[in-house]
Amino acid sequence: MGTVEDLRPIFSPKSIAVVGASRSPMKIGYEILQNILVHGYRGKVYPINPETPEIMGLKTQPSVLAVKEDIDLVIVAVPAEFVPKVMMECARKKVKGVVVISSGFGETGERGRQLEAEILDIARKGGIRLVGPNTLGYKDPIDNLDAAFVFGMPQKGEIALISQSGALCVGMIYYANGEHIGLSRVISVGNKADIDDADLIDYLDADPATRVIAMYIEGIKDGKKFLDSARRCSKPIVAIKAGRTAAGSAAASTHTGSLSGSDAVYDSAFRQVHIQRAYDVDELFDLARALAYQPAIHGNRVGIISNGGGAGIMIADWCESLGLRVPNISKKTAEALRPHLPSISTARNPVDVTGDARFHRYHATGAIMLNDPNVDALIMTCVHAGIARPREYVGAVIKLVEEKRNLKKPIIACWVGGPEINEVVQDLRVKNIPVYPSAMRAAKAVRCLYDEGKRLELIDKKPAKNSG
Amino acid sequence: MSIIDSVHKEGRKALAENEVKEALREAGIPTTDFQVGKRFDQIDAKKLKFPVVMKVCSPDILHKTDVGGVVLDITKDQFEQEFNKLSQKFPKENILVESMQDRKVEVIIGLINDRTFGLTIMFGLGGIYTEVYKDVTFRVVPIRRQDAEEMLKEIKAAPILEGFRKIKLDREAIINLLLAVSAFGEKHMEILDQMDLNPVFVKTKGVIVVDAKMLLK
Repeated sequence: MGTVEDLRPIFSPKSIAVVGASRSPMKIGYEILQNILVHGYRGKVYPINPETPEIMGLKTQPSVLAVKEDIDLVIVAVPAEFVPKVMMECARKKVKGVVVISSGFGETGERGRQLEAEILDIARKGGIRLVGPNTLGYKDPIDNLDAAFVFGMPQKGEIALISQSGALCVGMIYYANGEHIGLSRVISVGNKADIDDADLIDYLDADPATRVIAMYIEGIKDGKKFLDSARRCSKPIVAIKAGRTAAGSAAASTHTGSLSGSDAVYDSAFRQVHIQRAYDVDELFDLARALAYQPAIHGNRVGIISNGGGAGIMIADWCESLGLRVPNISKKTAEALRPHLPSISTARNPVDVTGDARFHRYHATGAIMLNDPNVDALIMTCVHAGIARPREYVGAVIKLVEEKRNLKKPIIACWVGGPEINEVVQDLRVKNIPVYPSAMRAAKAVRCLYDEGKRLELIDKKPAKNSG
Repeated sequence: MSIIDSVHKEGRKALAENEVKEALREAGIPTTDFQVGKRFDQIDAKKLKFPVVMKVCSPDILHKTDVGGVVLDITKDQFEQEFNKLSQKFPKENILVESMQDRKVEVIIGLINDRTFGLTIMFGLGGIYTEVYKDVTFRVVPIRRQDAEEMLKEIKAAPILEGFRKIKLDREAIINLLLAVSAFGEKHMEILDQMDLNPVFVKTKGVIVVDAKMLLK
């Protein structure tokens, strides 16, 4: 069976058993069971606990072997030393997938590494696929399944999130919710004893609910496997690779050895398979949001509309320094812009509509710039210039996005100025129109769409065979 | 059997410069023409184009310059005297003699075993600035032509390879060399640990490997 079929019982289970389900609200097993039930999971749920007859209104069973029906997924939340026994029972029960929440494995030392090897061995022999150990679990807002031990569901959306860190994973979910960024599936991969980033890339590539894969990675065990999956993936991948500065140089008998700190190789390997690298959580979602909701581009020429010269200049600087261009506009475009601009403003790129602009000036100049064949993408910026009308400009951006969809040119918003602005741009966020609070972040969003365009061009050219 | 395989069979980890260059030439990678000998009478001076360079050539001496094992720019008149001086300094070792090469630009190409991704190829501008600026880029082996082209564009010194100040360089030859080194690495992946082609001289037409180190697993 392929990875996708292997992983379906784990991420789309018809039935779930929770081993270590508990009546004590202090226990992880309590929280997992609660979260599964709270979010309206429609399959069968079996709490497993030999000491309690009933939890949350559900009859318990002493072990998975006592359950009469088939079980797709077992979530294990008992102390590490008991996990091998549970795994043996799962194997006998012919369970298809296991999520081992428990910690105390490879992350803790030699004894933990042995235990991890032991449960992996049981899983392999029993034909069980395994997530973890040492994981938060996963959250699936599309299918309303919360199989994790921290409360809180992500907003539904098209970005899948894979995280090697459980705690940061929760932070990222709340961050995304705050930014109105919707997620499709959120998976905490833990120690990656069996299921690793490569498997999840394969799985999510086949997932119709996912458009973009966002990842937080600390280390990859099988680099070749990872690169093969990333290369095959038809969807854009954005990844943070943390642990950049650790001295990872290989034995330095050659110049190549001394120059190849592991981060430099990671960086190049990501580029080789067109993974876009982010360096922090905000950047991860900045890029993922642009990739999920704006078209990729095959040219790097950016048009800029601003209501204040400074913002336009800063964006132009960032575009140029990121390898984008801010082209001169054609005579025809200049002539079309002229009647819409006040006499103090020159018709050129960046277009300065000046501080007293209202809806119409934003909308009309934006449409003219988008129609210019020398413009591949448009950044519309607004600074809170006192007399400015940020809410009207938001309306102009929304209207342009809706009217000009067929041009397949990204429209990126850059809104600068405090809490009032933050409130106004909610309208953009709700409509999944990328909006950023800084020139750098807006320009990086355009750059990532340009890189995505190059990735797609190469995929088209690639012979139809998988390497590896 | 290739030289690499026979060295590996001996259980030796390091190759001498002449062995590395022979292995490269077997793979169609252009290197300098060289002669090797312990005694002066083993060298055919008639075949040399002066000025020449002489280097101590031994699997035991990886960093030749550090031990005073490299003498540059030797004229025909100085040749015998300089050869004997160097061979007295390293009586047990071979001396490698080759003609000085014209250079436009020096680049470095290497192979390294990365613990995550396996054999990985490196490219950067060579010479003394390599280590200061770390202006290098990597790709996991094997690479495609597209990767090689991107590597040339990715380093900060890319404009130098694109004809800065009208210095014409054979970009195509660099790309072909990267592909050849990648293929070489792929072929010997099981036993190759790391390799430096440093420097490689890039000319208006062609490239040539001037010095090279290789270590086996």
